[in-house]
Amino acid sequence: MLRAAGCKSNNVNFTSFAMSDHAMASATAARSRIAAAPAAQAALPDELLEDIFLRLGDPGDLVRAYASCSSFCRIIFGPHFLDHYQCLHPPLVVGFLVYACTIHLAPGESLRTIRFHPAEPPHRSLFSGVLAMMDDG
Amino acid sequence: MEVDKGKGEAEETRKVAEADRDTVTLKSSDGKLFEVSKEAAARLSTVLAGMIAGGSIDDNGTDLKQIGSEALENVVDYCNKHANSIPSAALISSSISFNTAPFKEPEEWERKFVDRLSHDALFDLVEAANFLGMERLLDVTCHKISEMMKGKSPDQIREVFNIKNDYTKEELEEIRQELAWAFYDD
Repeated sequence: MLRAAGCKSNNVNFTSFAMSDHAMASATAARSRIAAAPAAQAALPDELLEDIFLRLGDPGDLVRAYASCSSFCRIIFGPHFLDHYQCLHPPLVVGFLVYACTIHLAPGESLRTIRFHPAEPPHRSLFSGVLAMMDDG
Repeated sequence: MEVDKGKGEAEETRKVAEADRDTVTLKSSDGKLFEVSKEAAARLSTVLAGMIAGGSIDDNGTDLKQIGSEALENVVDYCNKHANSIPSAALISSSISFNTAPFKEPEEWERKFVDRLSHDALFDLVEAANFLGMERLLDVTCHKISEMMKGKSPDQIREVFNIKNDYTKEELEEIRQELAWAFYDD
């Protein structure tokens, strides 16, 4: 459900969660919705709406905008918007996975214990990220 | 003879002064005239800068048929305030947050400037700023509208933009199920 992008450095695994990947995963369904729905009358030209949506730092706001009407959905899942959005709002680093120690069970068989260290005090996106990780696991 | 010569010189001086006027007159769609400093207009609006450089500014009022008087008044007000403001580099750099780093955060006076606007005036102003190529004013107004969306439910977002829900009940339910994490408040 949620993609955890990791890059290993020594024994520390820097894990970042791309919350907007939730939205990315739904792109196919959204595109079929765009095709099916008649264009709603927009309050502002698309270019201005794009400018406004790009300033939404929380992907949750972006998703709720997408859920508000089909013309917003068309802009958000348009050809460039999400690429541009991800450039401006890189995925947050929510914490580190640290390999605490390696337990040797038998020759050639070992078990690594991993501890999760949040990068900042838990917040909503961290919580949902961790829950999703547990779901996946 | 000398008196005539004096008059001629005065006329000449008046003409030169008109050509070198330091303000431009702008006319709104409903025919109201507004004066704005030429320097501020050229600095803040790429469209007005192009018109000034190209000599297409009309002394009797340059027609801006796409902009209503209230929006134009706000544009002129913003230009005048901007001309008087002393940008503080320290304030700008200290107010940039991680998430909005690519966008310049509005300064305090700019926040106050957009905060006092009514809903309709704000939306008219963002369109006027776009039409006139006023990058900074566009930044400030877009920032304000995005703030109005933050933490809001889809229903509240529709109210902000004065739009109707055109999804079917089934489509909305589908979106909700796909993206349940984003719907914590309703």
